[in-house]
Amino acid sequence: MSKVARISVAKDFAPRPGPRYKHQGPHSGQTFRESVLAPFLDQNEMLVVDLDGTAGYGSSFIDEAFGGLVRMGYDKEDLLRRIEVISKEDPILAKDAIQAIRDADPKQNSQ
Amino acid sequence: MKKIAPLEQARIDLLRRERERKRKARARSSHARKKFSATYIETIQRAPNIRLAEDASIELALPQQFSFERNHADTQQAINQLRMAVLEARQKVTVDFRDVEYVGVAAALVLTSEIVRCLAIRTGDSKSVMGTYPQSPVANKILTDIGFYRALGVRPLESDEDNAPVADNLYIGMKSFLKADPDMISSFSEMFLAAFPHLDLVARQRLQGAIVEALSNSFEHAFQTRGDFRAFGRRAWLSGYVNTEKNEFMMMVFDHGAGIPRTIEPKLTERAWALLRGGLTPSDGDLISAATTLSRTSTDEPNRGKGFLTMKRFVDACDDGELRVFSNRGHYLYKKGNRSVAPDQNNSLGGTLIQWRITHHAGSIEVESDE
Repeated sequence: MSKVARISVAKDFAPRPGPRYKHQGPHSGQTFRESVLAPFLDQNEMLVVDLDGTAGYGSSFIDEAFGGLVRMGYDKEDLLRRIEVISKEDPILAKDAIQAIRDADPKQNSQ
Repeated sequence: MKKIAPLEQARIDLLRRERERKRKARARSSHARKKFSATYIETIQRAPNIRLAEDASIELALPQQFSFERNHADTQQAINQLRMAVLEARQKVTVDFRDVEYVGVAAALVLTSEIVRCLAIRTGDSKSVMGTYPQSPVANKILTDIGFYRALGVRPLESDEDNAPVADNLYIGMKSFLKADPDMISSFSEMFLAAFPHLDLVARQRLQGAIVEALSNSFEHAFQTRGDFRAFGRRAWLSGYVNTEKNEFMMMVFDHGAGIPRTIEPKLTERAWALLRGGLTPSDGDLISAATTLSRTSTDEPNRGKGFLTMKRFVDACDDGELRVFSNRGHYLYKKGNRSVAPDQNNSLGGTLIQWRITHHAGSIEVESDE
């Protein structure tokens, strides 16, 4: 397992993040979590996610992408230790992403 | 007498039960049609704005103020009359704009979607819905500018440009779509953001995100249960305007889904409150109000209903704004820190209409975080 990986949402996923779920349309938070976040987490010890450079995020995208990891079965405390979310453009957005992990209920099933 | 084997008897019993089940289903269907016929007589044949034409088609006169905000009851009644006449009674209808003096954008959007649905369902009869042009140049200019004629593929009525009223708002047209496509949403958000050329980067991103959220959530709640009337596909309609002088945009989304009140299970406290006010169940307006809080959505899962919350936060964070939701019989309005629920209408909208208006002159927008 590699030590640290860096992901740019704009470059590694989509410059225009979409809705919450796959069935709502492309570039969803669910797709980002399943196809990018989770695989990178499984292959690396630490993950740095850069939110800059996109057209903007719906709050549901952020909640499903990051909070959805807990609902998917990842341990909350382990995620908080291993994931760093950064945004120079909007630091509040990075805080929202971490808060989504903190607020997520592991007993709820993810889609 | 021939003795029937047990297995054969079971088969006979099964066929007998199946025939009985089908007979009861036909009886229910027949009863339902009769019920609509009685409602049709009340709503159509006895309505003062309905005239029977020489060819037995119906002339449906729209009210002078064809607007949900100025004339909710008559506007909604007219749209319901169109739907009932075309889809239930299978009659040809001429939508008569001649006496209309003002057209609300939202009313035009809902009417457009209803006409398109009627024509799509009555595919064998392209003349099931016809129309007349308004005599009022103001009404005609509004219909032209908002894209009503274009959306229906109708030639606009040419007006005398020298005397045509100047449009304050730049309308973005009317579009329908089947899913929250980010590229299309992005193009619409760019149109809306043109009202705020002064916004800084973060404010633009936040507003773009809010628009994506608002549009995506309209689908999440749109078609979870079957509506009262037949719908074709999971389709939603979008319209709105931009006013660069006022630094204002309004976004409107309409869908023919089951409606918010039918996707929210009332809580015990809401039922108790309804009883205190003399009703058995909470009003549609109260249920819409409940749905706009973070914890109440059709999925009833925390953090799922962020669309309304996002829109309300921007209403609070910007210089001015409002969130207006019409769903079935309910009407909910949110302005800065204040909410109001109107008494339920007699007629159902047959879906959900969301109007979100923002006015903002500063370069930044400070929105509360989700903590």
